[in-house]
Amino acid sequence: MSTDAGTSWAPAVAAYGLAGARLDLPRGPLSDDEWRRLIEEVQGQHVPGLLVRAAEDAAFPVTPEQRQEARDAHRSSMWVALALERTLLGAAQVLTAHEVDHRVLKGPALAHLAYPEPADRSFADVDLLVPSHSFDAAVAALATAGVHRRSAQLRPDFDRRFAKGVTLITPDGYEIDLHRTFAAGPFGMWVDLDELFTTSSAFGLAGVPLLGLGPEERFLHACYHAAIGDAVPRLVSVRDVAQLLLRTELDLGRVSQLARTWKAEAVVARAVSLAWATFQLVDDVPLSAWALSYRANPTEVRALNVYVGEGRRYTDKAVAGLWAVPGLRSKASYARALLVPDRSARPGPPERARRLLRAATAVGRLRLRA
Amino acid sequence: METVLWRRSLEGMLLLLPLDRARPIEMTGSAAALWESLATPVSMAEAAGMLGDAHGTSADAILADVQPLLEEMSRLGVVMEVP
Repeated sequence: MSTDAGTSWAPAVAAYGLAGARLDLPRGPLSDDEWRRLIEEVQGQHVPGLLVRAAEDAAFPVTPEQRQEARDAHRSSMWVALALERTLLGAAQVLTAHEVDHRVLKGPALAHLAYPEPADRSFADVDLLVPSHSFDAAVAALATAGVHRRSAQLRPDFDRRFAKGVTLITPDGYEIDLHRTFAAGPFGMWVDLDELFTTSSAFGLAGVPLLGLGPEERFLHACYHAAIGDAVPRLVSVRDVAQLLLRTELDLGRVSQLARTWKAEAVVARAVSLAWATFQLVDDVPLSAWALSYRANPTEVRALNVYVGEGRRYTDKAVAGLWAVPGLRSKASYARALLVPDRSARPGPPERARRLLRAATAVGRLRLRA
Repeated sequence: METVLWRRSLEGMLLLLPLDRARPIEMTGSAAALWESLATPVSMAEAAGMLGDAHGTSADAILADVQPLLEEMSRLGVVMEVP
């Protein structure tokens, strides 16, 4: 049986195993074209494991060839995950040797802490969080292992004080995102960063103990990533939100308290609403009922607008971050770094002119809205 | 085993990546079952016994097959002999 050419089965695959998801899987094997499209989609959306699980459970009907293709796609993603976990271990060991506290974020932590089998959760990079005060030390420590920055720091101290983080490249070409906070711009600046290191969740890789965020912080980070991380969130990010909320134990009182303190209620509401809409979840839980009825206030709407939609730009987030930087002197340092970065961080003249123009127009727009 | 990263695929295949090797190793069937049974150290006879139980045969009957399999795993760096 085939379906309309426009139908995407990827959301139903990404919802597989979630009780209460109303998305139907196909009733018969897909046509060759539909199948090829689906394989590409599930790889790009990091959910090949869920496709294989659905096929092995006979919930997603497949031909023998399709079953093998799904297994092959999943095996490729597991190879990548293993190579990234080795990169993660190397980085974590360097940070530990230099006495830099750290937490494993996103893919590797979620695979081992939130899903029944790590194979269910694919990922494509390594994310680590370090405290602000250790940020420069962490970058320097990793440099001793041949890990280099993809781009220069805007000004000395900028990363440690204001940045979301920095992307590092290992000698074998893998990416490590070293985070200071969860997002660029205002929502990232409102997170109580010290709080993130007061709790943890332990897991191990190859006998090496590692720490992820505590359960509630992990859930909130998943919300930031799904709600304001990408212009169009990956299905796996949306699944993470539902998975953590429905399949792990959370102290919802603490979730609410942290979200309030971090001015992130609109982020949580958006992420949970997105998960409920994407997977057509019918089982309301207290947080989903709250999220679906949440109305963002004008300040939250203004902050969200710089993150969401296809037209969003880094410049808008960076300029909007100015609201959230505390103190006039810090605001001045932040603005100066954006407008007059160090020579090493400056792009060539035409690009620089474009960026300055963008920053100037973004400031103008914000003033007009204020 | 420590020093090995691994994944169990949903159809029962094991992918193993020893930290000092460039490429992962794939295991299926009895080899995968044997490797998983070695999470805690056991003697060769105990390993043969566990595998025999899983396949409804005696440890003695498969001991001769288990030994070369363990030697190969040791050569690949995914198991280690402990005193």
